[in-house]
Amino acid sequence: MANNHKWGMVIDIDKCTGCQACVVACQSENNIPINTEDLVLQRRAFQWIRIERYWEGTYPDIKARFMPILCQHCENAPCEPVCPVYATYHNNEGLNVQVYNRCIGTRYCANNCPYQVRFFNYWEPEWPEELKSQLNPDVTVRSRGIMEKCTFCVQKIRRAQVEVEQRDGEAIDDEQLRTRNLNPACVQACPSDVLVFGDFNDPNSRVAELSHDERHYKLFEHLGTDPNVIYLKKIDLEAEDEDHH
Amino acid sequence: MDLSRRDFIKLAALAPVVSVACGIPEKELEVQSLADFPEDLVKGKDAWFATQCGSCPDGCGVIVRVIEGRAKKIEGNLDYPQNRGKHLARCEASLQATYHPDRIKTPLKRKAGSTRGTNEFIPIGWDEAIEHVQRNIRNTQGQTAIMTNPLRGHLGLVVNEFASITKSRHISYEEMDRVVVRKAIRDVFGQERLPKFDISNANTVLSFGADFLGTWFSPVAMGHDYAGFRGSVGKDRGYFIHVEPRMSQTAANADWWIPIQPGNEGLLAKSIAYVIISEQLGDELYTNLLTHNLGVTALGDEFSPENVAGRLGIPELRGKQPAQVIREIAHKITSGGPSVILGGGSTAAHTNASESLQTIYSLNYLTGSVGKVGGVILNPSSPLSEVPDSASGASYEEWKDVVGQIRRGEINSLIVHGIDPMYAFGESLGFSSALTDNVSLVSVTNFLDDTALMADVILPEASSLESWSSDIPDPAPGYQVVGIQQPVLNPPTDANLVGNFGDILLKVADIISKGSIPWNSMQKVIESGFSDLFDLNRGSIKAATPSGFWQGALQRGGWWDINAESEMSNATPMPLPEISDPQFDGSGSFYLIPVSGVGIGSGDLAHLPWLQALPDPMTTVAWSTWMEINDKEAEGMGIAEGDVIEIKSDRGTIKVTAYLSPAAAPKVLGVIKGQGHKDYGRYAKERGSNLEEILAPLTDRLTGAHAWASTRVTINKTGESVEIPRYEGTQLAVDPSLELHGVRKVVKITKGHKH
Repeated sequence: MANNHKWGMVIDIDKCTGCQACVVACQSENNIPINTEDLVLQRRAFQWIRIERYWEGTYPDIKARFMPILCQHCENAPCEPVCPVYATYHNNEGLNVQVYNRCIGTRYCANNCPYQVRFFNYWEPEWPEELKSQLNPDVTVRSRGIMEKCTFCVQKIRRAQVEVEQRDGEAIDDEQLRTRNLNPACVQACPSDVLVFGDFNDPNSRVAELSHDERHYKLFEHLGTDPNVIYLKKIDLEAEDEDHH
Repeated sequence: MDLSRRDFIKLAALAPVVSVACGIPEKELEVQSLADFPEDLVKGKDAWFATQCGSCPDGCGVIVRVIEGRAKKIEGNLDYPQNRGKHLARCEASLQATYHPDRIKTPLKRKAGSTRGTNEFIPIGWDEAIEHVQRNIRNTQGQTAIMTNPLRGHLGLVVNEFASITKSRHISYEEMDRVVVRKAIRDVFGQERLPKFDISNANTVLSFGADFLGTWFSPVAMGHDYAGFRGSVGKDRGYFIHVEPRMSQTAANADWWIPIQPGNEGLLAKSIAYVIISEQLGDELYTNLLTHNLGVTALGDEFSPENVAGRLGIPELRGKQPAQVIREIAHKITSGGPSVILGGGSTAAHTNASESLQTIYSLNYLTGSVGKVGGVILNPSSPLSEVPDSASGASYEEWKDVVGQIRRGEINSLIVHGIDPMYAFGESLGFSSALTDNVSLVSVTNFLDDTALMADVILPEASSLESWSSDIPDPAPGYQVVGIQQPVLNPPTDANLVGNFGDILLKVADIISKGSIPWNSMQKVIESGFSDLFDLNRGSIKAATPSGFWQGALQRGGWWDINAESEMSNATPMPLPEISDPQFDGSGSFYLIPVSGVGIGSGDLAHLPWLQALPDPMTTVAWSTWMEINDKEAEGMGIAEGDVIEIKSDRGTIKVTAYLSPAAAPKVLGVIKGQGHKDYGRYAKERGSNLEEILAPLTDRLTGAHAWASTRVTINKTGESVEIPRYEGTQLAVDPSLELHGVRKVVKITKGHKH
């Protein structure tokens, strides 16, 4: 298996319309339980990717800002060292990986994550029998007591490595990811091209190019988590420049 | 190596320490994930089928991943010109419509002697069901009405044929602002089909109420164009102005949101036209055409910004007075390149809606944007002359007329598909009381919606993933496209189906016409249509034989011809219309603005759990009927979030849950539509309120379409309070402790330009 990848994502919040296409795409691909009204009210809804909405200003000069938030796949992930059983660890391709059958449910990782992108199965997930037909056989259904979170759709990355690199002997580039449907589900869906996924180690990749964009920043960069998700600033001709933050 | 669990944990805990101390290469200490092993990949062979999404009328091409006969995932079809590989939450959820636990799988008949609406149905066989339908049509010769959503493509062709054979009246329903938009497009651009709004290449977009990034026509196509608009290679970032009384999802994405008093959008548009004409900012030829060479005197000084500013209800924005705002908008849309000006949504739901929209769309002529890249590009007609490429819903007045015919006994047999008129009109048309025992209602649906509950016979159909159909997108992408919907899986094994709505109609028509109908299934209809496309000998599929062409169409999800663009319309722009004052029903102090959900729409998709659970982009609330109210106004009235509020109009009262928003305009209440179904499956049943029940029956003066934004209401606290199911605050993106470092912002903003 090739080990020279560093997977990552660039999120251009100037283009995010808040349409939530990524949210459902992720739920469908990753067998995420239905967020019933009870789960929402209990503050236990599962959203591996979510769109946060922030207000700025006061009426009528008020603006809403949309921001997709998902696991940042940090290089120095605060969730990793606190796991007593190595259920979460950093692999050599830039992924923060959760191994479900190691997880013993201490929830230390979720408590230590400043991005709040880890979700705990307080109950056994349930689907009506008929809806189970839709479940993706590539992805384990997580049982009660297990922590889960965004995997960058690791099942698709593995498929890319098996099918593109090993079987076809080709390199995984942006075009392969896009045309063979190997991008994470959220990226594949996003109508306004907010989310871009790729290999930071591939100098020709779009993520590598965008990571040098003058608008780039990382979420809570000052914490030293070194995320593999890079955001591009919102452009607002009327707003003050917030570089100083 | 024999390693106990305890040893493993010890080893794991030591590993980082050892690695630092001994300098062991990192690779050797790596704890490998099971997820890393390729042999764990599922070996089942998956198949991908290109087809059409049937969730909503947007007409997106999708590809469906099918493993062992089950559909697993829906993605956008990269090839398909309408959505270019992208899709919405609603497309994804068509999986749940297919695998829904409450899907009706066999024909049902109302028990003899039972009352309509009491959900007393018994299963029957298809022979009996088809016999019932065809007997009713024969017995009531010429007294049948077919009620559907507006139908394009080959299903439209089949229904037209069926209506002609059975001498039935065909009437369509769609959200009524669309009826007004279609008329305005027809009047202004001289064609039925919607044009392509070339947002991607526009310099400025000015939208009046059209929620084109959320729920308006084809948000996936327009959302994709919006990405280009916000900056792409060789193009500066476009500037977007949105005028709407409520901050919708689309308004939230605008560079400048102009809140306005409901119903005054046309007046604002006319004042913008006044500035363009008086300051000679626009296209000279069209200025002369639109004003009969009279220039600004054709409008009159009553439309100068200074004279209308006080009537618009626009607050001071960014320190600028309304008159200054109007001038600035006029200058923005006439400088720097082509503009797109569009209108819809609540702007198209007032008594003066047609006048407003005609003025708004005419601005495209004034700015010289019609027929230009980055402007409004007209769409070509269907490549198959008999297959409809566009269809409009009927107006409120036409629906009233049909209900009158039912009441007078002139229509005695109803076939309903794809719409839920009992829900959509509430009690306002008296639809349910018109259904006497002499009227037969057949509902072709897979779910027990409000109309199906009242039916005599319910016929289930194959879902969009299980049957044949086609689509001609409207709006098209600027050239001819015909999409194909093919079955990607078999219906559930316990289902007893004959096909989709088209197949059912063909079966009935075959009996009635004694075999003279040219097709016996939707598959044959589509095959024959694509054979005609093959004969055109042009477009995206190059094949020597009809069967090669057919295979190509199935593989790519349709046929299109990028060279088949529209001829320029030779329609002469009409002079700018007079704009009447908007009329409102009720004396309440609040304007009620119904809001379509990004997931459940206006209720048609409320049965799907993914979409019920989808947070509204602005309020982040799901699963309920919420009312958005200005936070300061609410506090002044003692209203807190979660308070159960009674909204009262002259037509009725409903209960909703209060959501306080800093972006809501004072005296404007945004209330989500789509809940309050009597049944419609476990995820929608008796959840929230049906907003339609309190809407005023006022109509647009020119089209007779329902003016659904013309209700004024009062609100009262019930004293009850509940927790509102919202996502906001579920996860704190900003850890409160981080505030200590003076860092709270996660959304960073820059003033810089982007190229």
